[in-house]
Amino acid sequence: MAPYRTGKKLGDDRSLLGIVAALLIVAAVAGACTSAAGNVPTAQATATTAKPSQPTLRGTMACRRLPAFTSQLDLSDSAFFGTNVAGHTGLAIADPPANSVLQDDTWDDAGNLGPYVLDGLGNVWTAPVPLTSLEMNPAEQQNKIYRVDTNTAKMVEYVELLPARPPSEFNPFGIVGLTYDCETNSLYAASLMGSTPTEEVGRIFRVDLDDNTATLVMEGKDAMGLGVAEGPDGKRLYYGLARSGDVWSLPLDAAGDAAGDSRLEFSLAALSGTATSDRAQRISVDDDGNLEIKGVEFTYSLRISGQTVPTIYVVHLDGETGKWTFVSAEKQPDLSQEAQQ
Amino acid sequence: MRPMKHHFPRRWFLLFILALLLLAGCGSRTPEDVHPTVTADNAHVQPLTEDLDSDQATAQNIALASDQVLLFTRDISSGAPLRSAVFGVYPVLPGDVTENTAACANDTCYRVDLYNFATNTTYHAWVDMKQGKVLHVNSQEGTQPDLPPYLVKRAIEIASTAPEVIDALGFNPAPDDPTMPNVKTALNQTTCERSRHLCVAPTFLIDNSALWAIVDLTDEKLVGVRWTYLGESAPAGITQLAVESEDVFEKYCQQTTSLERNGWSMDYDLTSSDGLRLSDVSFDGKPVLQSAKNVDWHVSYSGTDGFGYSDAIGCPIFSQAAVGAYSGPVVDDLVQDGEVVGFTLTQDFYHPDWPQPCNYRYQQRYEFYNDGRFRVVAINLGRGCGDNGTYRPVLRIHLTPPEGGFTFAEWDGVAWQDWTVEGWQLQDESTKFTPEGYQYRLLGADGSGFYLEPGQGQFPDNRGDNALVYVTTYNPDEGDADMVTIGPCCNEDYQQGPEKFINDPPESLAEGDIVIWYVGQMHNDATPGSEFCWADSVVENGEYVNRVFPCAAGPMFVPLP
Repeated sequence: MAPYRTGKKLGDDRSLLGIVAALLIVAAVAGACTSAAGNVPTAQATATTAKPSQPTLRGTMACRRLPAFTSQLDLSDSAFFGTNVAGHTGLAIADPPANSVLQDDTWDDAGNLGPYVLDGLGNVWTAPVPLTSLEMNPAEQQNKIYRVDTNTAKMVEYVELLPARPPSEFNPFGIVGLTYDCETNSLYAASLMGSTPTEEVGRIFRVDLDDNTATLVMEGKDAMGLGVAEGPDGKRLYYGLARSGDVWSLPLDAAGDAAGDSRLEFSLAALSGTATSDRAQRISVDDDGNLEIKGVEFTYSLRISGQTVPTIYVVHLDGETGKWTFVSAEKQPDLSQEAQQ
Repeated sequence: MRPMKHHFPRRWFLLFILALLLLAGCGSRTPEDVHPTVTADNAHVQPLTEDLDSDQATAQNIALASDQVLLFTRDISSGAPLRSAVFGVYPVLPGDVTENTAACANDTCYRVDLYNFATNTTYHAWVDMKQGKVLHVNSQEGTQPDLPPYLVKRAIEIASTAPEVIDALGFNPAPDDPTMPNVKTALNQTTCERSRHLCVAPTFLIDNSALWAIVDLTDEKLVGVRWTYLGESAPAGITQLAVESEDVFEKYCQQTTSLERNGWSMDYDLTSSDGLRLSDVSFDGKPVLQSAKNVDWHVSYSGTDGFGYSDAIGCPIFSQAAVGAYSGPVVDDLVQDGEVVGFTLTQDFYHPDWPQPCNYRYQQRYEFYNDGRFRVVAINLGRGCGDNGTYRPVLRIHLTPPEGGFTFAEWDGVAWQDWTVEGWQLQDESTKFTPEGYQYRLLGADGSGFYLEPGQGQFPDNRGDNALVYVTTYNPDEGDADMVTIGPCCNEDYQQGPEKFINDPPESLAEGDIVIWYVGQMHNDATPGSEFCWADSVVENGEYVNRVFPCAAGPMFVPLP
């Protein structure tokens, strides 16, 4: 996507009220365009089975807080961070009621961004992901994690993770998944860098934000979505694969490092009883203790903005039997790629 | 990887036929003749006519007489009827009753499942038999109800007679084949997420393997086949997207294909982000082209400063392309004035939701004439994000230099003027052409070579190329391998990327091994009657049909006499 800077800069009180209404309308239209061809009067694409009662999973991101700099902004309750706000490269704050999009001038320094997550101090952690071209996202630059400082709002490179192989023409992606664990102040990052059609060399790292170290948690698998949850058998790092709809998990120790072997939890297709080819791009725990998974198509190729209409899958873990059951699946327009985090 | 072909004893074939018949008959009730009530408003909706009892038939008639239901079988803006059909009529059970259908707690109700082929949407109409009316209609976009028996039969028929299935199985599973392979079959769910059509997957089970045949029942054709091993944890990911993408990747991205026709010979392969790349092209045994490819598409929208895309075309998976190829290249006759004068090699690239707004479709077409001419063409088929866009395809053409190399010259209106160093030039109103329409000449020391004839509106779907032409000395590091995006979307001037390969100071062209970068410029138009680089979707015979208004740019190379 082309450089496109019509949003206002942070730090300028007047600019904070800048209105870019059309951009959000464009975002909405882009999402709508991905619906089925044709004009359907009304449509709901929800499949639901019986809703389970007992929450069995507990998320570990309750400590997250908004960045301190947002307190100086006149934002509505509906404002949200996004890394795919139409017309804006990089991170942005969209405030639909005010028809405004806010962006610091450093937030597009890494080109298009993908996952982002807040930590307990209000820092925003994010990583670049190419969108329509590599013009602003050179493949060799895609294994970097950036931090947006909670006080200054400035985005700076924090760490570059070591891939198993350098990138190739077969795969322009690096980091594609991020999640945070409040209890160990750890950031987990999933990278696809170096993987090819025949060699799966993806890695998951744990970045210790207390001592600023990055360690390898798992390698040899291409993972996308990450989420940490405390369940009946302890804390586990859930991860969705990039080459199938399978979701696996890895036991974690008290420090947040791997404490055993991974195990297959479920397949999105099998659990939902559909022929979906979705991959788990984001994983979180909802208020009912269910696992909430954002499923998207992924083919190790680029895409256009708004091309993908994600499906939000909700699945439930039975604490006694250890079996997963399907709760619901619902298509959601992708107005902001990472809004749910 | 798929397993080896199987050859089985023929005696099993009768069991296969029996299985098909049993499958086709699944769910049948006491059959009665059904006489649906057909009116002017519902004539486009195909009712169920088999295996309904009288109550089910009545429920269907009530549903198909309801404006509430028929609303969903028409295009909302034009009112044009959309191809729709009733797939099933089922009694409503107590557990199915919701707030919207509360009356069904006491009354006898039926649920009529209706499928809209055009929108790929299922509608459930809840019919109260006592009140004789539709209580509620709900929709599930992108979902498909259970198939009626006649569509089950049709799906199996399409699969069983498809050459791809016969080839994969190693025998003909058609019912009239007097053989009996050890085959069972099942009907699996699948999706055609790209076309958003009604698709199912008849599956042939053989020992520990299964052959999935994805059948598109909207277009009544086979989409593709895929082997799986029974016991795989999640074979459900076999969909149109996966099958088509993997087939193209395997056949054209991981292999080079050779082609010989009409005196021409060449190799081609799909690249990560430079489209279909030709290499080692020769005519009558004489080398002509080292390589040709489409490096980028730059799309800019004049209404918004700096808004646009740098699109790369290429392999559908494991690539750096944003617009992928989901079918292989097609070789076809090149016909002019009713006469075959050569052949074309065409590769299609598109976004799955094309021609919806902000989705794109591109083609590369290589034209090879029986007289030795050839043309490298880049085509846009809309629709893009607006009606004020400019499309700039970046073509890289490396001709095979003869002994001693080429001399590159431009026509100044009187004579050919040689270029001595690298440079670029814009084709505009001041450009001079020979009476034949040639702008440049590549002349070898042996007298062989080509004229370059740009588009001035003389070619199909062409309103003039307005091309930027860059001539650079050949350097393998400047584009022999796949190139990432070499230029931004929205520069309006010569800075489209190839200028980076013009050295400072420009390098001499004396060695005669040169690369031509050709960047046509085409402005799209959505004005009715003069559409260009545009596409639209209209209702025809109950289906959404794409109307395409291509725009094409690219140079013709004409052999020197």
